[in-house]
Amino acid sequence: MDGFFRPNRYYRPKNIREATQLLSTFGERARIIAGGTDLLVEEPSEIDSIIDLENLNLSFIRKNKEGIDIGATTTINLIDSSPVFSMSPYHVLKEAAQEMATPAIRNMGTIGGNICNASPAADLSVALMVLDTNLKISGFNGTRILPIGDFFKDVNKTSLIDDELLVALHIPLYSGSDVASFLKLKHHQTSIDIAIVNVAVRLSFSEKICEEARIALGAVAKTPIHIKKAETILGGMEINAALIENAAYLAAQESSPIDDVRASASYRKKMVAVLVKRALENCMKGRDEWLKST
Amino acid sequence: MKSKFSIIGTSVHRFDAIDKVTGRAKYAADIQMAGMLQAKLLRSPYPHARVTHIDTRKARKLPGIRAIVSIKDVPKVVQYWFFLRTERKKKQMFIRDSVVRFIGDPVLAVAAEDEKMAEEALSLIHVKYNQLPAVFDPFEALKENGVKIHEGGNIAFHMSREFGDTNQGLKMADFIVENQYITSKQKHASIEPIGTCIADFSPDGRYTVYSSTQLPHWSQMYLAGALGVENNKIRIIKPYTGGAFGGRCGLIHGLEVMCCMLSRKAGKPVMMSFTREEDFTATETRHPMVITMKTGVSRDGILTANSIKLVSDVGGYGTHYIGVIANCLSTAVGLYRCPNICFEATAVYTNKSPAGAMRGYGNPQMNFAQESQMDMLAKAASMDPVEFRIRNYRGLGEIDPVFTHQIRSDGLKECLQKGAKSFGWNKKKANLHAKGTTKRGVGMSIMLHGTGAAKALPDPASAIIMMNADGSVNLVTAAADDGQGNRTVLAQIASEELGISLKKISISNTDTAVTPLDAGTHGSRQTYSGGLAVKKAAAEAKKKIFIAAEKELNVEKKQLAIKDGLVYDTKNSATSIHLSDLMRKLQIEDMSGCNQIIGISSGVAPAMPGYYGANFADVEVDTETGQVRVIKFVAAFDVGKAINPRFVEGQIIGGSIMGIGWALTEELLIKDGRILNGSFSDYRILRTTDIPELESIVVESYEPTGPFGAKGVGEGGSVCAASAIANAIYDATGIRLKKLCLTQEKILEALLQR
Amino acid sequence: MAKVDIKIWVNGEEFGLAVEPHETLLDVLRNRLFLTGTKKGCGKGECGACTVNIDGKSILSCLTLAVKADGKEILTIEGLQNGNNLHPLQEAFIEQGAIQCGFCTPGMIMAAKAILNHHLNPSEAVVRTGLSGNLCRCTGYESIVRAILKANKLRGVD
Repeated sequence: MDGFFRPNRYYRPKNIREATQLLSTFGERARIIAGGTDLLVEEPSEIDSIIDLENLNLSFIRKNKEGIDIGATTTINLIDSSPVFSMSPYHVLKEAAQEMATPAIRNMGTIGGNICNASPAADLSVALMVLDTNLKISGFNGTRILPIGDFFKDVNKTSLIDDELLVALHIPLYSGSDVASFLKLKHHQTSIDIAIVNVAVRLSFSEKICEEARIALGAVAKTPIHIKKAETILGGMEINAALIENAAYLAAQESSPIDDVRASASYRKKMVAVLVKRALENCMKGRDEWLKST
Repeated sequence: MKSKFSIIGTSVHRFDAIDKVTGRAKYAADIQMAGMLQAKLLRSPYPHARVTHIDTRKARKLPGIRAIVSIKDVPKVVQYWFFLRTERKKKQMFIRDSVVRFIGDPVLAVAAEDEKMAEEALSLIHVKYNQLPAVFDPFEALKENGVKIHEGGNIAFHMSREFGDTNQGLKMADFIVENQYITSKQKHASIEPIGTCIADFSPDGRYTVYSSTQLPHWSQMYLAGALGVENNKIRIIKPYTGGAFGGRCGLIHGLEVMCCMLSRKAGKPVMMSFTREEDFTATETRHPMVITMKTGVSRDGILTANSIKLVSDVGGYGTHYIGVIANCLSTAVGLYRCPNICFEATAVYTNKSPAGAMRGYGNPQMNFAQESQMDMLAKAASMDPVEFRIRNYRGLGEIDPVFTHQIRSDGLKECLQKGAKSFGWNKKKANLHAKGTTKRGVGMSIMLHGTGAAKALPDPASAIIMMNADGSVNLVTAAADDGQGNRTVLAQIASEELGISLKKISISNTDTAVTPLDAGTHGSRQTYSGGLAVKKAAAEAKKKIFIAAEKELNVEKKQLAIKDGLVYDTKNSATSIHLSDLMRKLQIEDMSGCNQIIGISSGVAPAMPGYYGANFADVEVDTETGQVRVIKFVAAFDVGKAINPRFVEGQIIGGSIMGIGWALTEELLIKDGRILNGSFSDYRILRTTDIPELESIVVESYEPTGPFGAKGVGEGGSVCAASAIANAIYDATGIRLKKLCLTQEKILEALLQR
Repeated sequence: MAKVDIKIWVNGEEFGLAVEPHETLLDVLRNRLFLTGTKKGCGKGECGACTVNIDGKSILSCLTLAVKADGKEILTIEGLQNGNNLHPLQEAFIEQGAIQCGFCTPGMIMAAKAILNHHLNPSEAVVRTGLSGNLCRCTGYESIVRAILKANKLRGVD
């Protein structure tokens, strides 16, 4: 191959079966396109077929008593502007969507495309993780459900096999008293940036006790990660400042950032602690406000 | 209050506005020509190597490949227009060898029927490199017996000057501040990448070159020299240009020169377009510098001595390193009154992408060091920073000891007064409260920058005014407009001087076949130097008009005036003639004359007036993350006279944003000679949502040598923003940052170390 | 190389083209339709100079495959004016001095058009966010933001 992005075949399958059939036929020489905002930046030279999901009707946001279903080709802006994501704790996804890329890219890029690109610094991924999102994946031989925590394998690598396609995401139902927060550390005086560190946090309460905590970090490991150790010390407890400090410290300990052109590993590690602390404090503030209003 | 001017001081719309808002404006890459080929460069992957063998056989077999030229055929331009002055020096302008000196240095160029074929051809070309040891640190490059980058060694330029006795001066000081400052490699990052060139060789030996160069006539001369032809065989036409900021001040041998040679070989027009990545990694940048300053001040806040040592990192090739250092010296001796100054500067080659001209031209680097020093000295002498500047700066009537510029206009005190008031300087200094982990601070700085380069460098400006038969005017000038709006301003000057409505004035394109000699658009010079030339040409045309009108009206010409295209007797306004009638008579009706009135001017401006500026910055520092946010920024500049106030404001604001970027977000990061952040995602320029509360203040001190009192403004905004911000960060946190870029990591580290 | 037949509407005019699968909409606009108003500033979606409107939304043409534009209505800077009458955005940009080198201007105006398509009386913050994908190196943005707020007033409510 001459090292240029020159695919010579373009398909618009009419349904998922056709799409997975094409994937199965072409394997690594085919790539899926939804919005195209990652594909046209990467410009992979080894592919000769593009499979466009445009006609698969995978752009939808549906709320029901089981939770929220999002189609894989739903654009970022549709998520940002949907009233479904205005409520706590789902708004953590909206907060992440608003911090992503630029307005035009948010018009074009899709939630499926973003998480399948599997950048460790992706903004949506950490928000989806703390919401315990499940992924619906279809392959030539059938469909499976996978928790998002098992989806990311390495930098730009997911657990999708050759003929598989992400079809939809499912966010379970939460109580309005659950709180969440998303924080993205960027370079200063910079509003549009790839994350130096991403943090998402969710706390679910029963009376004064935090029943369940989720803490997810981005840009500090090969994939977005959630920090079980920190989640454990918060679960079942009445949250106070000391616990928050502790959780933040543990989260930082568990992260494994690298030095790169954007930031140093040691700075990132310190910032995990700062951001986790702030995100938890945001959650507690949200919790206090909710208690006052009821 | 009614202005005494008709059009000077009015914010008229720019001439090219409609072209630009409708998409009609054609920039270089928009130009299409029948049979035009597309060219691509093969660039060195190594920072230092000798090209020993080039095998193009496989590439030549590809259908659609029309020409290939290589490093062996093409001379590199390594000096700038200063060297055009003598024949001996002119020979030093070009080198021709097989050595590549930075990652990205062009090795050869291919022209093909389309871009795709050109790219494929490159992938089939095999180049053998004999890698040489490379040096990246300027101090390493200075070592004797180290890696040699150029024939004459690694020192491109060295100078040393002293006034008074610096050792004595330092002994006399009550307080001494000594620090080393390091400034970063900044990129122009104009939204039109640098660059696109189209060259069209015709069999009679002429080259027509569409180039966005800021210096059309100098580019013409370089190209003529590089190609071995007379100047008149090179025609440079400048299309609309998408920003320059100094980035188009170098003649890029890989672009214009190779394009011309490809066109000659192929017998077809050739277009070459750099990608954004090539712009970031292989075109000229600001000179990174290491500046050591030891400055002394007396107990009552008077400067006693300043000792400056400067090392400037030129990269693999240089064109502007002498001028940039000269400008640093100008800052050292020009801005402050200091009896004892010594200045030693060395420009040194390294195996990195070349440095060249960039907005401020050495002044931002010196200013960062000097204004940080002044801030510390003011504190040592227990003086308010603004007071300290007022006490020590060189102002009206004074003359600097090096360039002997006499200061004839001085609006600095007004800049400081108005700037401080608008900013709330006194109130903020007293009342800013720290809130928990967030600290607030304020800082200020001043600057002085020269307008043009009269007598320091060849600095011609020329203009031609042609009166049409209907009284309308064609203004012919080579003034290159990269966005500043100088062409509209020049038309305003012509309009005012002639007494003819702006609507009746058209301005030519920049075309060296037609427009007369001009030094180009750089050094904040067009309004001043170009404006003086236009004013003179208009005055000459007016004189000729009065001679003709005198005959026609039977009125002595010294009594005549022109207003709105009507020539009239100032003592009896009923006696008049429309210019349209007079010109038609002269040109057409009088068949024994058929005379077009043409006013011409060509020469150099009488001075290089400095323009002052002051910046005030209010910053917030998050001490847990080290992040800085500029809350409010005030930029006040003394421009002599604002011919078009809106355009002046545009330069102040645009320049300030570039300066704030240099301070806080912009830096080309290099490892082993490779630029790591050659894209907008990792080289961060400010966006709409990054802008602080910004105010620009225009002060008019009236420069007597300038057209209607005007002097320059274009570069000012980028000169003292970084020092104002560094001073504000110090005020907020007690941390003195001396290395640009002022990143949050550096700030956090300094905070934690305390 | 198998070409794909597409039909696109650009500024109200229909075009039937055979394009390569890897060709971008930017390539098609500039090189095939000779609509050079839309600019290439980076080719990677980072500068916004290539912004056009598709279905009234801000879209980066350098990141849009031509094949994906099949069946779509595209508005470029050339399609904004009505005969010789400039659009309020174009008028406001001129009036507010929001143009210097002009290279970012087409993309900036198209991004602004998309903002005004979706917001009746946008606040300054909404305007700034809407333009955050469009880089300008000359103006510092102040005059551009002013121009859009002015254009909002100029257009009245329709």
